[in-house]
Amino acid sequence: MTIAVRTARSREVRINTAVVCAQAALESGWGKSGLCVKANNLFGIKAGSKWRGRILDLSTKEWSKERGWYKTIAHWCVWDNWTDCVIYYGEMLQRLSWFRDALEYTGNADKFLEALLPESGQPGWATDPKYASNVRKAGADIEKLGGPKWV
Amino acid sequence: MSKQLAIPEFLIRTQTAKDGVIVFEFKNDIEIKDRLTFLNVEPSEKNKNERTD
Repeated sequence: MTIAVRTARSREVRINTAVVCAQAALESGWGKSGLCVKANNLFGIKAGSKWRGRILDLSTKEWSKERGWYKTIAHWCVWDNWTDCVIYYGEMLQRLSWFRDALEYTGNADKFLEALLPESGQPGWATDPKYASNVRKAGADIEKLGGPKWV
Repeated sequence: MSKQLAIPEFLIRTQTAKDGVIVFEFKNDIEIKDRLTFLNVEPSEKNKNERTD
C-alpha cells in the first residue's frame, strides 16, 4: 500500500498519504475484501457513467437517512494494480468539485479527510455517518504498526 | 509489566490465569502479519522485543 501511494505521489498525484492508507485499510479490510482481491479496488470506488474500464458487480451496504442500512448491487471499477487505483483516486479528487477542497490539505490528514466527507445534502465520499471516525481509527492502527503517521 | 501494557491494544489479548497472573499474547499473529504486508511495513524492533508469547 505504501509503495502504491509513494509511486502515485512521485507522479505528482496530490493526496494525503495517511488518509489514503487508512481509507484503503478500512474499505478493503486490509486488502482482503473481494473487491480488493478481484478488482484491486482499494477504496470502494464505483464505476460512474463515464468509466470506460472494466467493471465488477458486487453487493454492498449503503446508508441513507430514509432507509438506514440497506443492501444493493453496485458496479465497481477494476484496476490492474493498486498504484493505478491510487492514481485514479487522486484524479477523482481533482475532477469532482466536491472533493477539490481536499487538495488544499494534502499536508493535514484531519482537514484532508474532512474535505472528502459530504456536507448536508451534498455528495461526498461515504454515506456511513461513522466513516470519519473509522478512518481515523484505521490511521491510528497503521501508525502503531509503523506505517505512515497521521499528519 | 507496565512496559507490556504499553503494547497497542489491538496487537494483544489478555488472559487471567488461575493464579491471577495476567498473560499477554498476540491477538492474532496472522492478522498482524497480513496488515504489515498490506502496508509494506517490516515488524519494528520494538514490537519484536515486546513479544511475550
